[in-house]
Amino acid sequence: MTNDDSKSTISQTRTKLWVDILIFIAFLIAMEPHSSGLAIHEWLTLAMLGTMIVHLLLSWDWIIETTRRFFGKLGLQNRINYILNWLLFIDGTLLMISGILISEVALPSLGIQLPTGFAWRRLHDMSANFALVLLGLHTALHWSWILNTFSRYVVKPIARLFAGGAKKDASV
Amino acid sequence: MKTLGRIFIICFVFTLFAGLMILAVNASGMNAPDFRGDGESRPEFRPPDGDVDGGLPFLPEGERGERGEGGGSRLMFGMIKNTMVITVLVLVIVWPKSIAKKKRRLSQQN
Repeated sequence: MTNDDSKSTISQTRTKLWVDILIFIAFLIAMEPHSSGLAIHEWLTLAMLGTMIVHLLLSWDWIIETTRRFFGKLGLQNRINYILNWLLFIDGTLLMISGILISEVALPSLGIQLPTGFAWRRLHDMSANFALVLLGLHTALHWSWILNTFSRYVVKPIARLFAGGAKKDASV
Repeated sequence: MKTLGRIFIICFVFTLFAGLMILAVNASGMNAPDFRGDGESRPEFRPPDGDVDGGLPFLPEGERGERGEGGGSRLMFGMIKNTMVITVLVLVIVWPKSIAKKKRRLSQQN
């Protein structure tokens, strides 16, 4: 690996961490439409569609590699992870499409009126609850990555900052 | 160009699944206006006497887009509740795994 490659990997990992934190917080806010308001709920989730694409692009190599090896040699955890990610994608699609079809603020403000149905409202609620469980499992399966990356890119730089400040104070 | 191609693939798969879901819901008849499925049509909604603007048949004010009173604290409560659900799931999976790892390490040392 050249110096440029390793720099790019570090920057990608850091970007992925911040994108994931952003998605996590946005998801928690989006899960409470009665408290945040329907306008925030709808616009935030539409914006999340973009961040989800970035999340998938940053994991692209893993997706392709695991798809190729899925029916061959692949560890159990990777296999479970892959299936879970597909479930999350399908559930996310259902959540998004049902949300678009029952939209009361975002789409009407763009001049788009869609025929609403009772089923989509129920499917939206169901898929949202299912997404919470799937997100929990997704987080659990990536827990060591989250801990390591958070420690490397958030905790250690902050600790270094304080240590640097303390050294300066000591020298004065 | 490579990134654009990947974005196109993601959007294509998303649209494909979305289309299939819409087809499935419409084909199953779940989305028909007659949601009880007993053949009778739903009775027309009539506002109560004296209700000039017709009122809202479904949800009270504050639950239809507007932030009701105490929205901030309710939002915080909801976010904490959902974080707790995720935390429990993480603990249920990560804890046994880390215990098993520690046991394996100990047995290797002995």
